[in-house]
Amino acid sequence: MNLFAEIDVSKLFGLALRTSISVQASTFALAAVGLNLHYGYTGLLNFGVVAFMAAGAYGMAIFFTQGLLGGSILIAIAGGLAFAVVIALSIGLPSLRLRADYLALTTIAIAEVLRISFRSQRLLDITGGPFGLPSIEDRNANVSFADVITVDWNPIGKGSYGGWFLEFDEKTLWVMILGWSLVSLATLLIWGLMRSPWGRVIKAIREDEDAARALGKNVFSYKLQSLIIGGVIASLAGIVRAFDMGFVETQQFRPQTTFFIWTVLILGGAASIWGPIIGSMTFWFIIIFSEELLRQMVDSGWIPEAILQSNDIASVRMILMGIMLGVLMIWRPQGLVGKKEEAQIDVR
Amino acid sequence: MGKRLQVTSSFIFLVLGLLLCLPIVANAQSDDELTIRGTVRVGRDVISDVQVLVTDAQNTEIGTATTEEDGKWEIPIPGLGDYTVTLLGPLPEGVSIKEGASDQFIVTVDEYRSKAVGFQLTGEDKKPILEIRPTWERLLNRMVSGLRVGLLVALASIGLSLIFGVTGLVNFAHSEMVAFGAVIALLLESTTGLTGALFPIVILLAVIAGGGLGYGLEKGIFGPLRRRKMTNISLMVVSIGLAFLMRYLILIYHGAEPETFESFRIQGGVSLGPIELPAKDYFIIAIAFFTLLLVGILLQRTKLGTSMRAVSDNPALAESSGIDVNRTIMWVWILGSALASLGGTMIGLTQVVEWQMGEKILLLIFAAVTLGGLGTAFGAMVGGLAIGFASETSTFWLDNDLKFLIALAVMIVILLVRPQGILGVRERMG
Repeated sequence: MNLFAEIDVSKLFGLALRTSISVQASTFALAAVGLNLHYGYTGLLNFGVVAFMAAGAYGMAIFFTQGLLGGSILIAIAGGLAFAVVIALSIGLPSLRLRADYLALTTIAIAEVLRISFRSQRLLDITGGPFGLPSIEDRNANVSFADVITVDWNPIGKGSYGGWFLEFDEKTLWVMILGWSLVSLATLLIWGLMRSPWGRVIKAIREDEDAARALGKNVFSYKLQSLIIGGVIASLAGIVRAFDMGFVETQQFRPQTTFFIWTVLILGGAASIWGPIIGSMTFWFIIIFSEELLRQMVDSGWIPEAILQSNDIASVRMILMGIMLGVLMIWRPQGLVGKKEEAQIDVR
Repeated sequence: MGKRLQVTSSFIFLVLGLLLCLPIVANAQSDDELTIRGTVRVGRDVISDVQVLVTDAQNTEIGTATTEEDGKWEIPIPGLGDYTVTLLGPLPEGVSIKEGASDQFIVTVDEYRSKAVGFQLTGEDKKPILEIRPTWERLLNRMVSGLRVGLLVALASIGLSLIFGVTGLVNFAHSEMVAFGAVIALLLESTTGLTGALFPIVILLAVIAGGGLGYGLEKGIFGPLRRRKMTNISLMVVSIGLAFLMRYLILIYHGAEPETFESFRIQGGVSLGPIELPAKDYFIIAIAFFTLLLVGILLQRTKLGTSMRAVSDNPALAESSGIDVNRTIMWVWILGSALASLGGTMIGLTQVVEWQMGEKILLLIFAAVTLGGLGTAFGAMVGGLAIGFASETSTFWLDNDLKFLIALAVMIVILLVRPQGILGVRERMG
């Protein structure tokens, strides 16, 4: 039996390509741009990226569903971003002085505190508890905060665009354009910041904090600014994701999402401008390509049922992510496009 | 300026904490939401303090509840569909599941009405078995199960702390080593048929397998990487990758359904004065206690234990005084992993064995270890006991799903106020 005869190559590449330019890939790239500022440029070991995404998404959703300050969608988005700033301050003010591994533990713990609080049944009326926002009934009736952005404000006419596996309806296309535009803007912002005097101080802090301090720079304040800017960028990722899915739910913000974004950043290359974008697109291409290849091999009987069944394939994604993270760290810490001398991981 | 910032920061933190708590206090649940509910009862008697778990068709946990004094429980569900309701226990003395009935069944919610569910329980004899117990007795019982959870968290945490002590690695895969123990024990039990009185053999085998896992990880991954002079931060990221690899391998080969050990199905309680616990809990508390005692003796009284503490204190000095550092590190991995395996098996005994065990216990372990002081084995014991006790006992006043918050809050506060932990030494701080 010839394996290549069984494999649908067009579908394999089509699906992988489709996912690598999808809204999901754009949100991962956006969050990775934020993490890149934290970790790549400033050297902050932030393991709570997902806290910022959750803050943005939930902040926006709560503002909108509760109709706070008039409840328009723009006010709600601003509310989400403001919530992310609050989270950045409450993570940063007390914990930025900690040693790197303590900072890592603190950030992951704060992210979980936020998620468990959102999930609490006591907050059912505000956050929707374990079921998220909007409520299931509203979702069944197709009422969502996403409608304003994805339907009312959608300049693209109804229909489907593109062809092959890259065919998208007007809604998906519009959110994709929004997502990748934000990625470009954020990348441009980071590029500009890193060429500015501010960026040079930030990098100096990463290289040698004591030296920066000796030169009279307020290291703590710079780190806090970095945390806020990166955090707001990551929270935009949460907001775009909420528009794409049409709802927010705590399951989207489990710690594993943080590690997905870490893998994306390290794959692309920390401390490089293009790292997050290349990382996210490559990451999703590899993940979907291998998943689909495995699925076709299992379905055609090339991989026996005893080793892998088709409903286990979704778990393979997580295993691949784990292997990628470990292997990259060991053999290529600078990722695809990073510079080795900049991608130092031994931050303090 | 440092002082002022510190004051400001603690203030902001406090305000944020209060803001988060406010709605928790202010919000009562509305009546018109969709729930699954029921009353756990035997004949006319209601049973308090029994845990019930609801999962959806994808085996995702929807919620747990503990029955109130009137035996009632209620768990909100997101919408129509199939849900699995599991009685987690503990049942009081003399009460068991009726012959032929199950502690688990599937409920189909097909209309927008709350669904009532009843378990079929039976009490032995005709004597009245239950009266509503006084509050202090219920609290005492909750505290004893808090002690049990604390001992288990302590067991599971020692390895993480010891490994950090001798190598400086914060091992994110440690919680998966705990889950590994439980899954291996379950597998061994079902394949060898060693149940009931022979079950301790299964535990022993699981501990040996855990030790083997520790040996393999140090020999195959972390030892060679350390010799390549990889930094501890890089190794920490590698361990995160490893954790995902292990967790999802467990999911593929163990499956998504939570399972229980054959040997200790839900069983009646045994009374000891005012304390009434399932028989297995006494067994678990005893084993955990003696193991911790043994580890303490090992660390304080044996040559190996002394060299572990020496390497942990100062590797260079230990090496120059003739201690084989690499061999000591290897033994730390074996011991730590074996203890994690034992802890995992015990945790599996008290509730269910599932692939997400590791993820669920990870932050509890981290909280325990940071509370006690990273790198000190006795710190991990004290921290584990405190965290397990506090989080379990808190369910007496708080919702079940908030018990992790207690542990996490303790951890955050400790990291901010005294990052070296209760028993740690100041110089460990950066």
